[in-house]
Amino acid sequence: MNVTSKLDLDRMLNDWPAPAVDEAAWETRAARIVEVALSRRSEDTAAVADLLAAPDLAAEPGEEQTGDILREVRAAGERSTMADGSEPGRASKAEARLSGGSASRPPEKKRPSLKEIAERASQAPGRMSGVSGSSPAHSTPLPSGRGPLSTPLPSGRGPLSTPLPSSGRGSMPPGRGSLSGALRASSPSLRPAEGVTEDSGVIDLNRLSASVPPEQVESAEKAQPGTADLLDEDEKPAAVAAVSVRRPRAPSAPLAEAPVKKRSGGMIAGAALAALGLAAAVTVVVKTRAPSQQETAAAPPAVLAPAAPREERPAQPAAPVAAAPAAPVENAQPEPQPVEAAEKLAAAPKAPAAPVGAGAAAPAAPASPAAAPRPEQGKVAAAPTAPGKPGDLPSAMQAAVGNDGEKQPSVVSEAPVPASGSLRQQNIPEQPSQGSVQAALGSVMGNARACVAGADDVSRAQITFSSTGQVSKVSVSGWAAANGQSSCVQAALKGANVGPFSKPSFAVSATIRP
Amino acid sequence: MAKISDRELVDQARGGDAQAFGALVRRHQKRIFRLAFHLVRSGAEAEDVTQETFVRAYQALDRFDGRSEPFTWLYRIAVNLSLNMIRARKPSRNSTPADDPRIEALLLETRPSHGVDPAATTQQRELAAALCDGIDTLSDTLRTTLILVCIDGVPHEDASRILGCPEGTVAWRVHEARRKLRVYLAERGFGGDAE
Repeated sequence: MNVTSKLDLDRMLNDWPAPAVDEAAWETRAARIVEVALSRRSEDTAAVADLLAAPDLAAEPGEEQTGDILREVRAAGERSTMADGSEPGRASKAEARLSGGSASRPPEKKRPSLKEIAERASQAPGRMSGVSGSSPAHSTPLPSGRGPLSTPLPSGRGPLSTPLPSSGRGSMPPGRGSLSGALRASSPSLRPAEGVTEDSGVIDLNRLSASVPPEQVESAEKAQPGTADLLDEDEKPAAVAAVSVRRPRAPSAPLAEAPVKKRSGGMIAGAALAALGLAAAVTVVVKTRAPSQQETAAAPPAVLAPAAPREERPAQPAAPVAAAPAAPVENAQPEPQPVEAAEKLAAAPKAPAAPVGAGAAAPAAPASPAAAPRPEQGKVAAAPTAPGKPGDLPSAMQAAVGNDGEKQPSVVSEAPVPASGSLRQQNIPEQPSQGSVQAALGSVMGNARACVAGADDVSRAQITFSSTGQVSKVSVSGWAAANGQSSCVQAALKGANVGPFSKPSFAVSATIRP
Repeated sequence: MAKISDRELVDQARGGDAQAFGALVRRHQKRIFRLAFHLVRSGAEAEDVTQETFVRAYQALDRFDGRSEPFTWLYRIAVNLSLNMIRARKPSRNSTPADDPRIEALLLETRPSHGVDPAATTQQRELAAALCDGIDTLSDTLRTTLILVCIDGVPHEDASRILGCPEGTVAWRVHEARRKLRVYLAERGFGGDAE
């Protein structure tokens, strides 16, 4: 009876009997109870109603702040959270008993609806401040002939416009493409129709775009994201010169500073990554078309990599791959230095190549995309280093990642294993928590009691859980064992599950009272 | 060992079968007495509560709708009667008397393994008294729930029906009662895991 652990306390409580009374005394009491009950059958039945109601127990302080404790107890054992439970009526009754009750809860903060968000988004700077879209007076009818979602796709896009998907996204950055003059001339205070009627959750993007002021449209038209250049250059390589000519005008616009900032960092990195991807793709294509490249593996790839752009840049300025590296530097320098461009290109592949452990082979990866656009020169070194068949996709991929690329999968595949293993170890407790043991036994104790119903003595069971949380062994003693109910009790207790734990086994004793 | 279920006994007793009611009494009177004993902390009063529980249940047999088990129905009556008895008492004592019957019952339960050592027996008695004191310091809500679940072994689901509160509330109360009890015992030098 040493209270040094939690289970000892529970055992003390579980084994706490009532004063012993012999069977004859119980029988005498039962007979007297029946006699009294029969004699008082008809009297005072109104008072029974109070006794059949739930006991009037005041809620403890803290009960209203808790979550669903049952799940918590089964999962973690000892954290004290509690919920209102699954029965709303009882929960409300319990809350009603609280001194503070639910009335003391702070009112939930009102969230802005989609309607309000759409209205704010559609508001022009400096006008129509506040949420006023709920008033129909603020909505301007759409131009005739334009219903919701009926905005035609931009058709007369210039060389700088980003291609739009064919789903009719009329609410792309305002001013993009062919937002018609009628739209620009419409009132800037145009509000989406759903904003004035009901909050259906559907935002009419066309109407939003129609409500943009002309100055925003104009400034946005001048500000092009970095991807626009890349995509346009893919389609129209000749437009590169036009871009470089037209962009210097952007700073003259009052709102053109933001696009300039955007171009500075992310645009360079994005363009470099896109160029690498394109170069790798072209490498694959070139390998399929030029099987004779295997003969040209004479020069070391590390040397060829930086040299490649220097030779190729003036020769093919309009080639898709060659134009891509030029994009990051075209704003700063109309004539970019090829060495810098090659270094920037080589910087990205170095990172994935480093874990492979081949220091000499690392530069080979950037060499292949850089040299890929020159199949006719016969000096491409990256592709020929691949030992596979020419035109074979695996060999092309291997060439793209370098000579030691085959080592990478092993490194990559090994990495997640210890991570997930340690994660699993962290989640599994050493032994089941007291709460989970109680919950597990409580869930099966009713069936076990049914086995010993009518017994005049207690039964005890030693339940051993395996590390999976399931019951591996049940030893029954006491009344159940003496009266042939061991199997019944065992079967009942076998259903307990405390959840997985790391110890090999965990035993707990339980007293089964009739 | 085919037995008649409690529901069948209730149905038969409702039809006027006194023997069926007697069987129901014999089947559950020990548990009811034990619950009442721990709630009212007196054997004699527990005996009164037990008798009154069955008498009231017999009077209300017609109101038993069968949605719950009869024993939870009996338990609810017993808890209500015990609480009524406790609240009708004068607030008399501040500590558990040395002759508290619960202490004797607890010592009787553990005597076979420790009874030979007088020093150990004294320590057991002190621990039992501290345990009774700790339980008595709990509120009626926590004490009733603790006795139902931890001492009497009623599952949370049944305890929630008896007490008329969500299962999560029962679990929280048990956790809170055990925590307070552990702290109480730790402050008196029994166990060192006070939270």
